[in-house]
Amino acid sequence: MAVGVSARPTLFQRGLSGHAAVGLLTGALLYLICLSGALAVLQEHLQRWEEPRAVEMAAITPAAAQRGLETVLARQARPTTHAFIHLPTDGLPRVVVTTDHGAAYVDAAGGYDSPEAHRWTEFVLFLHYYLHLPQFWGLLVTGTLGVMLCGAVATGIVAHPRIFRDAFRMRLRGRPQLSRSDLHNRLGVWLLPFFAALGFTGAILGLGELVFQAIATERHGGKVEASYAPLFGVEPKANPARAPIARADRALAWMAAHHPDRRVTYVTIDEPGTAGQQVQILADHERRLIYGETYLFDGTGRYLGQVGLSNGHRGQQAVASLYKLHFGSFGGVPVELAYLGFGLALCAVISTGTTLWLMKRRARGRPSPRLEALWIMTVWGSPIALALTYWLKAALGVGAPLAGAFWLLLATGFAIGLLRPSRVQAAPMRVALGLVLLATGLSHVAIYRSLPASSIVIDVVLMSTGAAMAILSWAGRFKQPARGTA
Amino acid sequence: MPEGLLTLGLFLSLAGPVALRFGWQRSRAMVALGWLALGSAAALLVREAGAWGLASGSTAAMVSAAALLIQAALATAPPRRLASERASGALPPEPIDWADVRRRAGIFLVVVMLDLAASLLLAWTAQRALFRTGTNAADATAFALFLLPMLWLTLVAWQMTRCSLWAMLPAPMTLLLLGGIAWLSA
Repeated sequence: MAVGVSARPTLFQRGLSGHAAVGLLTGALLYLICLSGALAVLQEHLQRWEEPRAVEMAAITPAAAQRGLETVLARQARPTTHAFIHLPTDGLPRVVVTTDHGAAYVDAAGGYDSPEAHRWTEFVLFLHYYLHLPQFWGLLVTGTLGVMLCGAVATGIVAHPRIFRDAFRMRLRGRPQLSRSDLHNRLGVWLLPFFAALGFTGAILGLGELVFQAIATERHGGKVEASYAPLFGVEPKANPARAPIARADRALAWMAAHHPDRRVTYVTIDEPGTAGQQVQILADHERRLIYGETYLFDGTGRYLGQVGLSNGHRGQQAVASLYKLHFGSFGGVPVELAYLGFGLALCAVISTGTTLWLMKRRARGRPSPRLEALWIMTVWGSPIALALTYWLKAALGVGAPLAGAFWLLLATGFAIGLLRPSRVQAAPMRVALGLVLLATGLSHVAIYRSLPASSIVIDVVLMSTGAAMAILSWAGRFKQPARGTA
Repeated sequence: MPEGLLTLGLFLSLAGPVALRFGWQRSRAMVALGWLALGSAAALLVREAGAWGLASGSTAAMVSAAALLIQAALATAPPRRLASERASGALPPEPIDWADVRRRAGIFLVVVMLDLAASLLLAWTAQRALFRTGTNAADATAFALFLLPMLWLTLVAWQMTRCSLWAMLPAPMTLLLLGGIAWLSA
């Protein structure tokens, strides 16, 4: 053995090897979760963008909200286990009444407006939550990916020996491998708190179901709802005798009188129209990470108490704080924009991580053209497929099979990558993505001429980003000297 | 004046990375000042606004750092001549190393299946022990919710720096043992 050469790899080398292993094991799915998650930050704005013609209002009176609830329940004329009223918020200034049988927008007077049909936004959210798998298994997979993201963060630190020396080095216009390495390492280091928080909260939200199932089996005879109760409140005791619809208006009036500083965002009626019904009012607490406090009322609108998300046990407050931290809804539009940027940065980190591994393989004389093509298809093909599914929804309406179409598009892309890897190149894919984004923004503006401000901003961003991406890629500014560079 | 302190905390969060940037490879005092600003901001924001304050301050600091990275990317001139990336000629394809495939499958089973089972067992038995010794159900449940991913990611991070499959096994086995003891004793 040569002098000074140790057979045993150093901690840094082992860290790098482990970091690569985690990245390769989870890369594609993690990329899809993060891409859809970055969009999910804007879920309320996306819903408005998708359905710009629904009636909007800054606020609704308790009486009109009650009328809206009763109107929708009467139109559906079927019993439901729960009814929900979404009240106007800054992000979504609309009133939506949802039951087991569908959801509808209501106007400021409580009259029926139109069915809620934001299927594409829901499709993006379900991709993020469950990867379109059945709920339990989907949550398990996304929770596992959250753990793996944290594992990649931890091994990434171990594998980064020059973390301070290179802290602000960003040579994006250098050699392809160097530029990707700088992008991967710098974003990975400076956005580490975000990546770690995102992965950890995602892991808790995803794997939580296993814990609840275990506790339900241990002490509630398998009833999972009972294991949620200590944290989120108890479901009311069922009494199926018929009764007038619960007085959500009185509950809302009580909130306005007793907590005028707390913005009510959601009303839930458990077992509506029965003697056992209960009203839950969810109110936002300013400058708290909790998603809100739940105030409980009986069917007549009499105040019963609060669940304790804001002032109860520490465990309740901690768990209630996961959602805003994960989805970036704790600081209005500035934080949402920051989360969108950080989410896209995480996509770039994941993308460049696998790309670097592929480039190193090629440099060692072991190119993997099929893997390179699959990775290019994942990185650039999945956003194209997301945009095309929006077009499909726009063309076919709410009945369009969005999840099936998305996975079919992706599978077709992967098949091309496997069978004809030389046909899959990053630059043309970028041009295609740019053109799709540009066309999406243009057609959206052309179809819906009158748009809310946030939707105009989305269209402008789509058009400008799309045009820039298409032109720069077309002009060869992103030209790659070697394959394997997504 | 809480509003003023909150603003100060957010300002320090934004200023911390800027000071680090100016001190980077130049002035240790400035770097120390940057870390001091970030530390003070965190303390101030936690005191004034708890977890919300810390989350807001962290977001502000990361926005500031991201802006500095963008500036660095724009300011760094491209090299006069792009040296071509070292590219070897393609070597002949290697035969499939089935032992390596088995090793990778084994690592997957250990890191995903065994680690999850071990972490879940210990998280569940720990909350069970807490609940049975008088901790309220909400805190016991929340403890398990946080403990499960924490144990799992610790196992993954540790195992990913091991050299062999066998070296990965003791950690989850230890958790299984601890979980089993907690289950039998509580």
